[in-house]
Amino acid sequence: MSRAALRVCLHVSLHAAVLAPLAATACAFAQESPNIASATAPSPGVLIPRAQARVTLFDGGQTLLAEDLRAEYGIARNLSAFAELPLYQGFLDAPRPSDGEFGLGALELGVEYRVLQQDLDAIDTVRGALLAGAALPTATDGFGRQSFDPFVGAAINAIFGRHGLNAAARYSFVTGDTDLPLFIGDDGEDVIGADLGYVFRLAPAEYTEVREAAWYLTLELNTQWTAGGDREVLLSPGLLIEAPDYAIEAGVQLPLSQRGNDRPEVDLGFFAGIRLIY
Amino acid sequence: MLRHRLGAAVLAAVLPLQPLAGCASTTSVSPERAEMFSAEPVSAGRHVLAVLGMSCPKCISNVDLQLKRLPGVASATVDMKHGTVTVEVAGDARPSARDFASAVADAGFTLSSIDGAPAGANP
Repeated sequence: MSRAALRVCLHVSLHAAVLAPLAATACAFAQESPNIASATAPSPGVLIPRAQARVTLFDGGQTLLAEDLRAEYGIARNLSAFAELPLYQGFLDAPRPSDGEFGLGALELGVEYRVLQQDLDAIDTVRGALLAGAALPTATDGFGRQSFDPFVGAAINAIFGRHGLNAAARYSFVTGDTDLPLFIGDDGEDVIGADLGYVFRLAPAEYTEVREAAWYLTLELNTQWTAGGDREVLLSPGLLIEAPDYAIEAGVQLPLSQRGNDRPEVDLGFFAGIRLIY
Repeated sequence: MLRHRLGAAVLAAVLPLQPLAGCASTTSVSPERAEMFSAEPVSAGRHVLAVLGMSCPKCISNVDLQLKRLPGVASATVDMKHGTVTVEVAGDARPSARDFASAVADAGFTLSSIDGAPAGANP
């Protein structure tokens, strides 16, 4: 087994170990594109923890393992708060973390306000939300910039029968940079993100009177770019399985176009996650 | 300058949502919708709620969660095929149709009728 494969196996095992106790007692919350902000929100008083493991292979055999921990909490019927903290392990070229060092990414805190809800029939629905927040300077050396970066954005979800559409946009006001850029925006330029997603329900074709698992094919276009010409366009096909007691998602991320200002370029990415509700 | 142009582009993308937000104020997002249902306690027994927007198996867990929190609700069974939730009400503390509508709205969906009676109807 190659070192890269071993790293991935270790990471997946760690991911499973973290999530297993949660999955045993919780049920999931899903029907969202895995890597796109969603206009869905938890009910008042409901907490939705989410964890997503990501493996990113950069040029030259560099590898970054990430565990994105996210929690959403329903404050009111249309208002929720969220927090997201990435944990990293780097196998990158020196002087970036090169020997499996662990580190934190930027902690993001924000609120989401649902401004649109049109429930058209038993299944069809259209939702829209605005979001705002900030990334805090919590990143450790080599895992991103350490700056306070406010952001604003919007998200729309639409479900029509077996077809689901997601779209989201986000503008981050970047206030700092780093000597070791790893992510887009690390050069200090503001970042625009725009995502499109399509979710197709493979099965069941029609829901029955009995609750059953639903299988979805997901396809996303995830784009980020900066005023400085940095850009990243990823195509992300995946699978989402949503059962009465759990929901899991998995997929790959393929770079379609990218240009990095002194940061490594993505060769391939993998993600796998679970969403829970309490 | 380019940074400002990027900011303007994002604003231009977000602003069209505002008219949509206005539309939403007349539908399920507004708590007034729930108030169109009767505040009188429902009778004990089985009631069928027609719910709109239940688009995925796990999203509807929210409906179970919110309805079962109501005093007097013994069970709530979702039927995604027909877009209904069958609620069993028992005991002295019984919820009203308005309570049902509010719980469904808290879950993120829209209650369209109870036992065939739509919002605003006098059962």
